[in-house]
Amino acid sequence: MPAPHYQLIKQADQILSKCGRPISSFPGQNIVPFQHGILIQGTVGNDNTFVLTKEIPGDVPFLLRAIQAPSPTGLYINLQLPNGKYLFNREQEISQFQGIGSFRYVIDPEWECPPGSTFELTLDNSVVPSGGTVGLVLMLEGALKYSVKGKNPAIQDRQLSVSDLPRYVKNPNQNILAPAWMQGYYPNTPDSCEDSIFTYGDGNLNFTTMNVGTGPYSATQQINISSDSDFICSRALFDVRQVVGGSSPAGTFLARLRAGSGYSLMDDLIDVAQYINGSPFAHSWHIKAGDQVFVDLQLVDFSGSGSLTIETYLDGLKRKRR
Amino acid sequence: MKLSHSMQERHWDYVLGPPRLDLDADWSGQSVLASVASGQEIIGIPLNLDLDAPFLLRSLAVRCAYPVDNVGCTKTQPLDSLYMRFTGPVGDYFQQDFVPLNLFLSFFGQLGNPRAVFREVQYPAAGAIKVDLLNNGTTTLKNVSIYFRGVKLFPWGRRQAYTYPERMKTNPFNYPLTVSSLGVKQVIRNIQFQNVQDADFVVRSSQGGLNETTGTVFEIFFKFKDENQYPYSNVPVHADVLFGQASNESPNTFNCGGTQIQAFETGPGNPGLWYPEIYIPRQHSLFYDVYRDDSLYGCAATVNYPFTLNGAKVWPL
Repeated sequence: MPAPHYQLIKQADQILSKCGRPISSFPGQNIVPFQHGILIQGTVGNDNTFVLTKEIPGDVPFLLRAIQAPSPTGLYINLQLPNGKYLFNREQEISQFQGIGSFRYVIDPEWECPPGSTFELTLDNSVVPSGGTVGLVLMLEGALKYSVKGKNPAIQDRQLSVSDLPRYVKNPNQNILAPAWMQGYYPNTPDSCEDSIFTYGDGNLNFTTMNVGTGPYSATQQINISSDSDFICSRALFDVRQVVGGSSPAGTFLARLRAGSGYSLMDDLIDVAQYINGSPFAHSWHIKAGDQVFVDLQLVDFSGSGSLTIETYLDGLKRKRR
Repeated sequence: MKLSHSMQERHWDYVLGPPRLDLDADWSGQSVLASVASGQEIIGIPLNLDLDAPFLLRSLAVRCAYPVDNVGCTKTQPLDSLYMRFTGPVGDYFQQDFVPLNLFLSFFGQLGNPRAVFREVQYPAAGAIKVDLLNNGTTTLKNVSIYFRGVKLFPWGRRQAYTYPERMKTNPFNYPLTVSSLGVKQVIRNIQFQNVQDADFVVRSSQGGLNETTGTVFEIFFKFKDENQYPYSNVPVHADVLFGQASNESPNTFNCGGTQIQAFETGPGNPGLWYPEIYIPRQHSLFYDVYRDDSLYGCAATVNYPFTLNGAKVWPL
């Protein structure tokens, strides 16, 4: 099979997509982004300001997608983009903006910067003078945008097909940063049912005290599911506490959750407080109305004297038929 | 763009407590909650909802005042001893019994981590939420506040509803703001934020916190209002709940297993979100009140308090 033939495009007109985003008018053009980072570093003296300039290298545009920076105390910064616009209204106190790794400052939509244009970074150590020289290393992260004319039909016109996707939102001002639950979107409730939040745990049958000196070291808790509704359990909560008055009692509660119907959530006892406490289940546990959940407990690796308590809660949804 | 909702959603925080600061009347007429003593159980504290709109509850948060006698002015709220349950629109409890809040809410819903109510609860206008509280610890919890966060529902056109133009271009943008020379005990009302840039601005999140080498802020509250002075909360909301946490701010620590752990995965990358976002056309305004009462804290001082409105510029095309 002959190798795909690609041709680097260095100049082409742009038109606006249906979303108003500038895209190439060149038929069959594809964008190949190469990851690239531009490092800016400098220092600024006490009670002083300093402006750093950094030019976009190479012969293709740079797509600015994120900024990573540490957080020197007392430093204010502002970043002027190559088109002359600033990222902030005025110097920004850096600790409210900086981030690294998953917590980097994201530029979305990406900002296309022509080759040869410049970023200007203002460091301001005069708003709250730190008392000494402050250094900053800031990384402009993104990609170099290579435009190619190719013959791979699988990636033809990708920009157009994405912008054509319909969007369904509850509100014009939805906030694209907000998670689904904040917008009122959830997995569908089955027809003829209604869901409401609920947390099981009556403070009695779900509560166990174990004395680390005398035992017994095993017990079974019980949580009775209401007979009027199924329960969609999305997480389990385990509250482990020391009883005041002992001599630093310590130990690990192992537990196994199982339903009266015979279904067991785990095949052996595990350290539930450490491994699954409060974390959402990958798949909800559907427990039938009127069923019971048993929590088999065992206390291991105990030391000291006195007592430990464990209280178990099931958090999720009551599902009633209308 | 297709709309699937027949009503306009508008960000709203209902706060149960704390008792009004003695220097302001904004809390008057609101449900308040004072200290919860060691071992005290309080049943049926009512939070009366406003008359003008139904409320969709989508998340929760809780906090109490920082202890005055804390060592080194660290920020630790002894909330691990607080248990709660609350009711739905017809007085039905959502918890079988008291639930410990240290399990129920990560970071107690603060620092940009509201606890999701993972099936929204619709309360009618003029409805009520009843809250039961139990302090199972040995310390009195001062100024306990329960935050019910979500949206109010209005018929379209009832409230200001600026939004995006049909065709537009956006760019990330932050508005850094500073409350200058904020005294240890001070209220500043109706500070105007005007969008004087070259484009519309949409507020999607906010971040706040002090980055100074001297002074620490403990009890600071904000109340945001649109340009018609209609607020986004019934009473001022504490910065710990409304904002995230700036990375250089005095860190919040939380009681855990007999020790204190520092909040992790919070900070600038995890700001407090606004839902729905607030759209401010060019030359239009947003207003806010600031309340601070740190008069009991020895290491508090007059500060320039910085916070940021994060979002995007919007240019019509």
